[in-house]
Amino acid sequence: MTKGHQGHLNGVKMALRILVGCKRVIDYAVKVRVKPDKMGVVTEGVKHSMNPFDEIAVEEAVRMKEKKLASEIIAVSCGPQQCQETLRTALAMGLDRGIHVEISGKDYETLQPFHVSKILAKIAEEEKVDIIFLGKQAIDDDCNQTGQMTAALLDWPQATFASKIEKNNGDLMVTREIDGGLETINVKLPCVITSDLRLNEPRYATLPNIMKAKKKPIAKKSPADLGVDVSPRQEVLSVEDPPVREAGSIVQDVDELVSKLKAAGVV
Amino acid sequence: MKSLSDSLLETNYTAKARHGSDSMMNLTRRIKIFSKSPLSEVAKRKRSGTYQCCTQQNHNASRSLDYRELIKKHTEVTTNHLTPELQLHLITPTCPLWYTGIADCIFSDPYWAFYWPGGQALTRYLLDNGKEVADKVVADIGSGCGASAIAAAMMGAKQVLANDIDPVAALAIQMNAELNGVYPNIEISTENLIGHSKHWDFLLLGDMFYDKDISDRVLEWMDMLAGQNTKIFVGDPCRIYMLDHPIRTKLRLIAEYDLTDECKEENYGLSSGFVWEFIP
Repeated sequence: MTKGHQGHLNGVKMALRILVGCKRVIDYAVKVRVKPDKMGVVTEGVKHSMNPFDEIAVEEAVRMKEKKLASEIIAVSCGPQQCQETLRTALAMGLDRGIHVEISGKDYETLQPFHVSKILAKIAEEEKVDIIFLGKQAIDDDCNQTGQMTAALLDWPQATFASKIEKNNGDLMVTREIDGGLETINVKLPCVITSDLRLNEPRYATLPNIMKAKKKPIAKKSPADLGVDVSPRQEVLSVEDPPVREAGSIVQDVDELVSKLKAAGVV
Repeated sequence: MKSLSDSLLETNYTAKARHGSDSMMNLTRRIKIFSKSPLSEVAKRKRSGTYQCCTQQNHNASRSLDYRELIKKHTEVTTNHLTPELQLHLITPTCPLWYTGIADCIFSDPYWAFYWPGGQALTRYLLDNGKEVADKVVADIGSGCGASAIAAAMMGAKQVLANDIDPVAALAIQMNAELNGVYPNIEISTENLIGHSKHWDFLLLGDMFYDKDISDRVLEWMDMLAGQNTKIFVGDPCRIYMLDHPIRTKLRLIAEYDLTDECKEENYGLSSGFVWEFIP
C-alpha cells in the first residue's frame, strides 16, 4: 500500500499514490455537428474541456490528499498538444504533476478505450500507483469501458460508478450507484475506481491556483515510449445525426385518437 | 459543472461592466494604460529569459507610483493568515482579480500577491523564535510579499535583505514593510542572487522548491553558503519536488503548522506548512 513513499515525512496517514485520467472532450454545452463526410464530428474551432466525470475523479483525489490519505496525485491525458490545457486545469484543481501522452492526427482519430486502458495500465505500473481514478465514462463517446479494461489488464479490483469512497483500514469502502439503488463494496489496493455524478462537486480553479499550476511539471511521452501499439482495432463505418423528429398531427376527439392508435397497431 | 459556474461568473461581471461599475471600468482603463509600461516590458523580457536584473533604485518615482496605486487598488490589506501580526497587501477572494484568468490579470504573474504556505510557516516560526535572528544579518530569497523579511526586521535583525527578481514584487515588499513600520530597515533588491557567494548569518528560503531545475540550483547554492557558516531555514508545504529531491536527507524538521482555510483555498491539495533547518 505505501509503495516506496516516505509518508511520514509530510505527515500523510496513508501515502497513497493516485493516477487520474483527464480526457479532453468537446465541452458539454457545445451543440455537436456531424462532419459532411459522416466519418466523425466537427472538432475544429469547437470549445473543449475536461470530461466532467474526470473532473469529479480529480476532485475526489484532491480531497484524499487534503485528508492526508494521498501523498502524490498524477494527472494523465492522451491526445493532441491541447491536452496540456486539460492537464493544467487538473493541476490548478490541486494535482501535483501531469503526464501528457501525445497522440495526434490519424492515431488520435482512431484511438479507443482499448488503447487508453493499455496506456493507463503501463503508466500505473511505472509510477507504482495505488489507485487509478477515472470518470465512469466520457461524454463524447459514452463508452464506459476504460476503467473496466484497465482493471482487467492489471488484474486489479475495480469499483465502478462510485458515489462515496471511505477508507476502511488498509482498504477502501466504495458505495456504487446501481439500478436497484446503492451497493457498498470493500476493495483492496491497488484498485481502479470510476466516478459517478454524485460522488462530489468539483471545485473551481482560482487565480492563485492557476498561477501555481503553471509551475507544476508536465512530462511528455509517446505511446511508443510506453510500448503501446495504438493501431486501430475498429473501423468507423458511418457517423449519423439522430433522426429528425417528424411532425405530429392534432386529433379532433377521443374517437379519432383511438382509431389512429388502432391503425398504428399500438392498442 | 465548472464551466457552467464559470459562465455564470462571466455573466455576472459582464452585467457589472454594462451597468458601469466603477471598478470594472477602471480595470479596463488600467489595462490600456499599463499594457505598454516599461515594467511590463521588463516582465516580458523576464519571461522570455532575456531579463537583466534591475534594482528598485533604478525605477523612477513616477513609474513606482503607478504600480503603487495599482497594488493598493487591486489588493486588500489583510491579517487573515498564519501571522496576523503582519498586515500584507494581498489578492484575496474579496478582490475582483481573484476571479480573473491569467490572461486578464493586469499584473504579470503576481506571485507576490499571495502569501505562500511555506512562507507563512517560516514567518510564523521567526515570529515565535525571534531571538534566533536578533542582531543577525538575514537574507530572504524569493521574498514574494516580503513577509519573512519583515518578520526578521520586526524581531530585531541587524540587517535584512528582501530579494525577488520581480520588480513589482520589490515594490509590494516595500509597501508591506511600510505598512508594518520596518521599511527603512529592509534592503530590497531584484538581482538574481542564486549562486552568489554572500556572507549572511541567516538565509530564508520560502517555497523555492517548486521546480526540479531551481531545486537543483538552490541546493548547490545552499551547500556553498552553509560552508560559509550561513544558517539556512526552509519553509515549504512539501511539494513533490521536496518529496523526491536529495535535499530531503539534509533537512531537519523544526516546525509544522496547519494551514489556514484561506491558505488551503489558494493551494488546493496542501494542508500543512513545514520549516526545516538545512544540515549540510
